[in-house]
Amino acid sequence: MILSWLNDVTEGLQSFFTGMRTTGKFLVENLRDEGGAKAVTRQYPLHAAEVVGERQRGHLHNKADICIVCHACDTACPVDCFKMDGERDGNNKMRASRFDIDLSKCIYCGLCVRACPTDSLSMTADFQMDPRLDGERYLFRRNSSQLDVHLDAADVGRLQQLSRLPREQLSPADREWLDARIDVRGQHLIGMYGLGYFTPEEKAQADAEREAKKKAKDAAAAAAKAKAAAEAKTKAEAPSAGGPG
Amino acid sequence: MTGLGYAVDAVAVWLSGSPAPGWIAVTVAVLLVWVAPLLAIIFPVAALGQIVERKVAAAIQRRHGPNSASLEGPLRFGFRVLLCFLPRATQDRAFQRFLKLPVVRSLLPILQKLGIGQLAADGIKMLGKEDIVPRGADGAVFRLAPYLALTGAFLPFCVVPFAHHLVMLEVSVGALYVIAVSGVTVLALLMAGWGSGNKFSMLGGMRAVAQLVSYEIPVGLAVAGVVLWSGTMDLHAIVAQQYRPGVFTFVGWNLVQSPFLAMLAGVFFLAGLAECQRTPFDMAEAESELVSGFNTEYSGLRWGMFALAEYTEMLLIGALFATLFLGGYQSPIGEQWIVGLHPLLATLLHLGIFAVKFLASLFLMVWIRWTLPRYRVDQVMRLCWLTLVPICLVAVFGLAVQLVLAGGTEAGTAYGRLAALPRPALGVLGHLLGWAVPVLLLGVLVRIARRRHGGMHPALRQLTGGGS
Ligand code: SF4
Ligand code: SF4
Repeated sequence: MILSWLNDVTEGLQSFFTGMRTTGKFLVENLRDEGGAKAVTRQYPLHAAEVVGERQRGHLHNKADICIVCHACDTACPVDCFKMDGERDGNNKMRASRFDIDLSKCIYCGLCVRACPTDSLSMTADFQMDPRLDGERYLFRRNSSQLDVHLDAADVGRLQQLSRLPREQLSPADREWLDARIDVRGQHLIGMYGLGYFTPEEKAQADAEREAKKKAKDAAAAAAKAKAAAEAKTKAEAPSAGGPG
Repeated sequence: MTGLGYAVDAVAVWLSGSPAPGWIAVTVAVLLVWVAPLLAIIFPVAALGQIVERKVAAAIQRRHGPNSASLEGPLRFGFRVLLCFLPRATQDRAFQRFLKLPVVRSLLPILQKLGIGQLAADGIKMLGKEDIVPRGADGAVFRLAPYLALTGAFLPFCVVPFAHHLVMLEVSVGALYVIAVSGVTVLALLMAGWGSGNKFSMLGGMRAVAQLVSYEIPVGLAVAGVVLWSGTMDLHAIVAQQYRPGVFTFVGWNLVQSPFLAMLAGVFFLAGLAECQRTPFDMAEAESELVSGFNTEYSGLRWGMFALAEYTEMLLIGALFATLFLGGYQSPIGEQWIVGLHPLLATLLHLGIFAVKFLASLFLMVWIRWTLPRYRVDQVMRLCWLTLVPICLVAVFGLAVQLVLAGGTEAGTAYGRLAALPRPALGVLGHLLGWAVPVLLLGVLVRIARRRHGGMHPALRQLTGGGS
């Protein structure tokens, strides 16, 4: 019995030291290599993300020329990301005239891709949202999806250049141009991310609505204040009127 | 003289200028000598322990660990506070100047990479969090528990000798005091578990109590072995007894004095690990089973206190390990010259050496944590009662036999300001035999055991790449 116990203890110690040796090796290796080339973690915005899984579910991409606007993806989507319109082309085929995906709502579940009968909808490996980091590809996809704001190569260059500068340094014209394409956070394209409107017109409308709401609220607050003041006044007067007399 | 420890006496006498200082001088001396070092050394080092933990964990798991939190923000805030009497623009200019200093410019990125900035960020985050007391909680008990945990972790440091002239309290029963006072943690964990009004916390608290109470026994036996060997319970005297004049001071350390003491050292370290509830013994937290155990319901600063208590306890185990087995604050070589230096210089050197020793064991604990998975709750108990306690008993018995065979004590060496203590009269031959006989015996026994009870489990053999 004692011998088997001793055997157990020795085994335990042995496996303990084996484990310590393994982790110790990792420790030394990782500490020795400067900049963490051995480290599995990538410092994402600093270093490019090199390792992307094969089945990565990044941004959605729609090949608009084979999409038949069947709304299957729209139905499948649990969070209502899609806004689409279609029209018949020369061959009497339905083609998308507008196909917006609100990526600020998307949960990257991939249900829409499975629903799509024509395989026009797919998920790419791309996950970057910042036009400053990866403007070209990002904008290209947007362009190909037949959106309202079209950007050609020159536009892309301009956008990248302008979005790099602080807002105060932009000329009014530049600022206006940028505002039409970038949301209030100064980072992302209208409709793709952020506030959920898709065109400059819709943005204007949303702004107007917000303004109106704020005005109404202010007015209500002012009215309430005036009323309270009036009440206080009557109260203050009441006791003095019916006071010592 | 007040008897509150050498340093306190010295400072009190110096403050009052008379050999019989009044109570005000004594109080100030206690604050200066006990409380200030406690706060100044233990607190930051314990906080630093978290960074060590995260960095080592990251390296073991091939990650980077915290390296992005900048120190600029906290520094700017510090400037604002320090220079609050100046206009904002001047503050900013001074701060810019400060940032441009070559030292600062080269040091800041390094500190940031080491994750020091994360410490500030975490601290501020913790301060800013809401202090939530659940509705079903037993309010007073729930609120009190973190303070008690911290108290239990801090109090034992009163008797730990940090340097020859920096001992807060030289109590004749120091070893006993440490074990007694650190028992407060048990109560704290039980209070936290009970007071939270939550099944998981309750289970965590119960487990903690069962585990801590069990593991007190191997810890106590290990300490008892050292006490048996040294013939004293005063921690500083135990350190002094490990002193040997000459170049190689370390031959006097308890770890190399006797194989039984080395065994006890191993057991003490393991059981100490269990005492501070670290993986592989973190039954009380066991996040995969109990959400977060006894601190499930805690948030903000109270949670931070528990975390700090854990790291302080790790430091305590490290400090005790160094004190009992590694010659305390003594340098491994040439201690006699260090202790002969000017007290201030000697204190600084000793502090450095002590820090290296207990930081090394801190590192070891972290390393173990990120190597071993958590034990199952019954396995933890079995390890304690069926493995550690028997080993301890055998070791203490062996130690006693060794002492009897030594046949008495010889006069030790006086060490610095401490008087000589008698020590076991073993002689060189006795030491050599004391090592050779038990090691050979154990070797033969292990051989027979391995042969009789087969090698490893096949799966284990595959994992360890062969082995006997
Ligand atoms: S991935 Fe999911 S959430 Fe995103 S658009 Fe498709 S169905 Fe909707
Ligand atoms: S399911 Fe496919 S084809 Fe149908 S509307 Fe969506 S993207 Fe177009």
